[in-house]
Amino acid sequence: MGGWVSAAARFPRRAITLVAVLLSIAAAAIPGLSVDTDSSRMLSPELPFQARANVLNAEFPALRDTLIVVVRGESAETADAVTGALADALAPQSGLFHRVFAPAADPYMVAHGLLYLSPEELDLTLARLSKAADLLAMLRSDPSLEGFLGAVDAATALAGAAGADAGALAPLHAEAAAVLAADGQGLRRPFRWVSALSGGGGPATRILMAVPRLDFTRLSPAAEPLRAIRQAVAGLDPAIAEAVEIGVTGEPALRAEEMQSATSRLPLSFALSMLLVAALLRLALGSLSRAGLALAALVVTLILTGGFAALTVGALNLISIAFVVLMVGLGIDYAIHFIAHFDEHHVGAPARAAALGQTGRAVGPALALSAATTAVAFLSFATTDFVGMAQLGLIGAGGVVIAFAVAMTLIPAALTLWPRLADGPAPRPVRQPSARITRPLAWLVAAAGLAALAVAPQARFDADPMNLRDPASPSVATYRWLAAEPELAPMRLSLLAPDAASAAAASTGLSTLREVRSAHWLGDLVPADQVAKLALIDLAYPSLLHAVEGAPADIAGTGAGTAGPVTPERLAARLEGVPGAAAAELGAALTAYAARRDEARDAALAESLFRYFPALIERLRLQLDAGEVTAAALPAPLRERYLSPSGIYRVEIAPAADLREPGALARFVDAVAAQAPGAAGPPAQIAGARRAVAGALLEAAGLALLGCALLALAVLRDPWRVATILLPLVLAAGVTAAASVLLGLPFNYANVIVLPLLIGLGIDSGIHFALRADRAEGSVFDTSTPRAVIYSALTTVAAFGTLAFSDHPGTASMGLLLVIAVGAAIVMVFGLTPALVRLARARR
Amino acid sequence: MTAVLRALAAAMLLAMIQAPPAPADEAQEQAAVALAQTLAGDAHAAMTATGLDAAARFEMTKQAVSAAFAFDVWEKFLVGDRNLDEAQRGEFRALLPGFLSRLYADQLGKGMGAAPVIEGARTVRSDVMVAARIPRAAAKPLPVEYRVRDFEERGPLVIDIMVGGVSFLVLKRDEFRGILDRKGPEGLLAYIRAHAT
Repeated sequence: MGGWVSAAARFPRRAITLVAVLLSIAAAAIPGLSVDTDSSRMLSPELPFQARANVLNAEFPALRDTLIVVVRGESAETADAVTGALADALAPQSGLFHRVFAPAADPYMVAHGLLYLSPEELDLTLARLSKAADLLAMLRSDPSLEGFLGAVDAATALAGAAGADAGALAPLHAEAAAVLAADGQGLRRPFRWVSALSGGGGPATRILMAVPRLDFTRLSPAAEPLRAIRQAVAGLDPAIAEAVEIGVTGEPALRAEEMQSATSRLPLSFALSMLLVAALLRLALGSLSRAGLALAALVVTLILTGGFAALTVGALNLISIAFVVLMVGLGIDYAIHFIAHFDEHHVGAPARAAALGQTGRAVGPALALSAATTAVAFLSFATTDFVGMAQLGLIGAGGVVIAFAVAMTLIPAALTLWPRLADGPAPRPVRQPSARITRPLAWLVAAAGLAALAVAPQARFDADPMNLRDPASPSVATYRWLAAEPELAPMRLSLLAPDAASAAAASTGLSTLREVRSAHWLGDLVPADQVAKLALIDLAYPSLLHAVEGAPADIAGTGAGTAGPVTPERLAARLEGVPGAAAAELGAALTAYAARRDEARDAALAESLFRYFPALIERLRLQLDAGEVTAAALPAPLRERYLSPSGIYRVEIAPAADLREPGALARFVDAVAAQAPGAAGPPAQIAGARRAVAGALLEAAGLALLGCALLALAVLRDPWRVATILLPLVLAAGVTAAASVLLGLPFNYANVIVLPLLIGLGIDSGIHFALRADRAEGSVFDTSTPRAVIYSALTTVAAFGTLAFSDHPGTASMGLLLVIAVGAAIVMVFGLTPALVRLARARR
Repeated sequence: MTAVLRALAAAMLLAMIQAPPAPADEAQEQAAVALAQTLAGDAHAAMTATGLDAAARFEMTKQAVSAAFAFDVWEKFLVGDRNLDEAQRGEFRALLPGFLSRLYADQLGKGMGAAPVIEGARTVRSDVMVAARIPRAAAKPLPVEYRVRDFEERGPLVIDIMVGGVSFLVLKRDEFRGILDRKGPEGLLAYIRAHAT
C-alpha cells in the first residue's frame, strides 16, 4: 500500500490523468443508465409468484397499465354526467389512449343495465318507472318551471284521487323541496331524479378506465395521457364539475406521481446535505480546500461507480438507484481516514512524500481490509432473489473498491501537486471517557444490544408499494377512495383458466371462501335469469315507451296541470291536504319561493330542476333496446379484461376484508392459494415479496457476516480480533431492527438499503477502531481514528438525514432509519470496541 | 269441371291482385282493435245496463272480461314466480277473472259517460296497443290502451291495460308482491276474495 501511495505521490500528474481517463469513460457510459420504477420487478422473475404475475401481465396487460379516473358525485346523475363527458372527451384521442371505457356511460351497459339488477330490484324499478311514466311524459312535454309544477300537481292530484299510498310521492316532494331550499340559500342544487323516483340515491362513485399509450422514452411514460385527462377535467362544464370530486389513479399515474414526489424536494435536500457535509469536512480536515479535496474524491467515486453501474447492470431499480446514498456514506470514509492519518504522520515531518508513504503503510491495510470486507458483504446480497438488493450489492461492492482506489490515488497525488492541501491541523484526540464510565457503558451498550436482538426478529418487510407513496399525492388519495369501497377495491387476485368450464368451476369454488368477497369470470358478466327478466322488461316496455315518447295524459281527470299554468301557490295549496312531512316541506318551500320569485330566478330554478332530465330520458330510451346479453356481445374493453386474445380466461377474486391491513392480505392470499395455487396478482406479489425479501435479507446478512469473518480471519489470523470487529456490527443491526419494530417503521423497498450501508459502515468503523486500538501504544482515543470515524458517520447522517423530512414516506423512512442505523453503529463501536480489544489482548 | 276450376282460380287470382291481404302487423292490429272494441262495448253495456242489479251487471262485465283476457299471462306475471302451493294457485286461478273484472269496472267504469271510443292501434314489439278514450261525465276522457297479444289458435287476447302509461299488470304485480311479503299467500287470497265480486 505504501508503494502505491508513494508512486501516486511521485507521479501525481500521471495519477490524475489516469483518474481523468477513467472519469471520461464513466461519464460516457452513464447516459445509458436507465431507471425502472416498477417495484414488482425488484424480485427475481423466477420466483413462483413473480412468474405467475408475469404470465398474467402478458395475457392481460391492460390490468396493470390502466389509468382509472374516479368520479365521486353528490348524486348518481352528477357522477354519470361527468363520467360521460370525460369519456366523450378522451375516447377520440386514439393517439394517447388504446381504449377508454366508462361502464356507467357505455351505451351497451346502460341499455342492458336493468338485466344486472336482481329480480327483486328489477321488479321494484319497473313498478316505479311504470307509475312515473306519465309524470315523465308531462315533464318531457314541458321542461319549464311551470311544466314541473304542473306535473307535480297532476301526480299529487292523481295520487289523492286514486287513494294511493301517501308515501308514494314523498321522495318526489322531498327532492323538489330540497332544490327550492337550496335556491332559498342562493345555491344551485340540481334535481336528483334517482332519489325522486326511487327514494334512494345519495352519493355515487363512477369509474372510467383509460388504457394509455405509454411513452417509455420519457421519464414519466404516462405524462401525455395524464395531461389529456387533466385537460378534459378542466374542460368540463363548471356547473357539473363543481359537484364532483375527480381523481386519477392506476399504476401509470401512481408511478408518475411517485417519481415527482420522490424528487420534488431533492434539489433543496441535496443542497442542504452538501452544505452540512462541507461544514463537517471543514471541521474534520481543517480547511475548506481540504474539505473540497475530500468532496472531489467523493464526486469522482460517484461518477466512476455510476459508470460501473451502467456497464454492469444497465438499468437501475428503486433500490439500486440508492447506490448514491451508499457511496456517499461509505466513499467519504476512505478520504477522511487517509487525510486524518496523513496529518498524524505529517506533523513535525516536513517531508511530504515520506509522510504519504508512511500513511499508505499505516492506514492502507485497514482501508484495504475494510474495502474488501465491505465488498464481500455487498456481494452476499448479489446472490439473492431480491434483484433490487442484488444490483445494489454488486454496484456497492464495485463502489467501495473504487472509493478505496480513488482515496489511495487521487488524494496523495493532490496533496503532492498542491502543497497547501497538505497543511492540516495537528491531530486532536477525542476526549477519552474515564474508566469509571467506559466499563459500565460497555455493559450498558452490550445489554441494550442484546435486548434489541431479542426484539429484532419481529421486524417485518412491508412490500406494499402503496405504503411507500406520499398519501397526500392525488393518485394515492384516489386509490384510497377505491380501496374504501369493497366493490371497487383494486387489490384483487386473478386466476387464469384454459377454458370457460374451468373458469366457471374455479369461480364457484372460490366464491365459497370466507376470505373472498366475490369471484367473477366472463360468464358472470352475463346476467342470470335473463328470460324471466326480459319478460318483465317487456311487460313494462309500453310504460317506458310512454315515458320516453308518449303524450302526457290527464289520468285523474281533475284538470290538474291543464287549467292554466300551475303556480307555486297553487301547488302549495294542493299539498296542504297531503299527509307526510315531505309534502308539508314542499308546500312551505313553494310558499317561500312564491314570495321571492322573479323571471331570472324562475329560469335558474328550471335549469336546476331539469339539468339532468335529458340524461334520464336518454337512459330510458337506451333501455328500450334491452335484449339478451351474451359474452360475445359485451363491450370489448370489458370482455378483454376476462378473456385474453389467446383464449385464456381470467377469474377475478375480490377480498372480503380491507387489504390495507397486512394480516388481512396474508389471510386472503393464503386462503385463495390453498384452493387455487395458481392465483396471481398484486396481493400475491406483496405477500410473496414479504417472504422472499425477508428470506433474502437473512440469507444475505448471514453470508455477509460469514464472508467478512472469514476474510478478516484470513488477514488478521486472530478470531478475537475478528470478534471485536463483528460483534458491535451485529448488535448495531439488532438495534436498527428493534427500532424498526418499536417505531412502527417496517423495512421497505426504500429503506432496506440501510442494512448494506450499516454492514459497510459498521465493518469499516470496526476495522479502523479495532486495528488502531490493537496497534496503539496508548489509548485508541489518543489517535486520529475516533475523530475520523465520528466525522465519517456524521457526514453520512448529514448527507441523508435530511431525507427524513421528505414528503415521500419511503424516502423519509430511509432517512430516519439511516440515522438510527448509523447512530447505533457508532454507539456500539465506541462503547464496545475498546473493551473488546482489551478483552482480546487479555486472551492473547 | 276443369273450366269451373280455372274460372275459380282466375277469380281468386283476380281477387288477390285487386285486394291484397293486409300485412301481418296490420291484420293483427285489426284483430286487436276488434277485440278491444268488443271488450269495451260489452263491458260498457254491462256496467250501464238498466234493470239489472249490481251482481248481474258485474256478472256481465265478468263475461266480457273473461272473453277477452289472457288470464294465464296475468297469472304468470302476478304470482307465477311466487311460492303458492297447488291449492292456493288453483283458488287464485279461479278468483282471477272476478278480480280483474272488478278492477276493470272500478278503474275504467267510474263516471263513465258514454261508450269508449277506440282511436287506433300500433304495434309495439310483438303486441298491439289499442288506444281508446273513455268519456267521463265529470272529467276529461280517460286515455286507455289495451295491450293485445296474438295467441294464434286462441286468437288475440288482452294481456295488460295501460292508463297514461301505467301498466295494470306491473302495478298489481307490485301490489301482490307487497301483500305476499307481508301476509303470505293466504293474505293475498283473502285480499283477492274481497275484491273479486
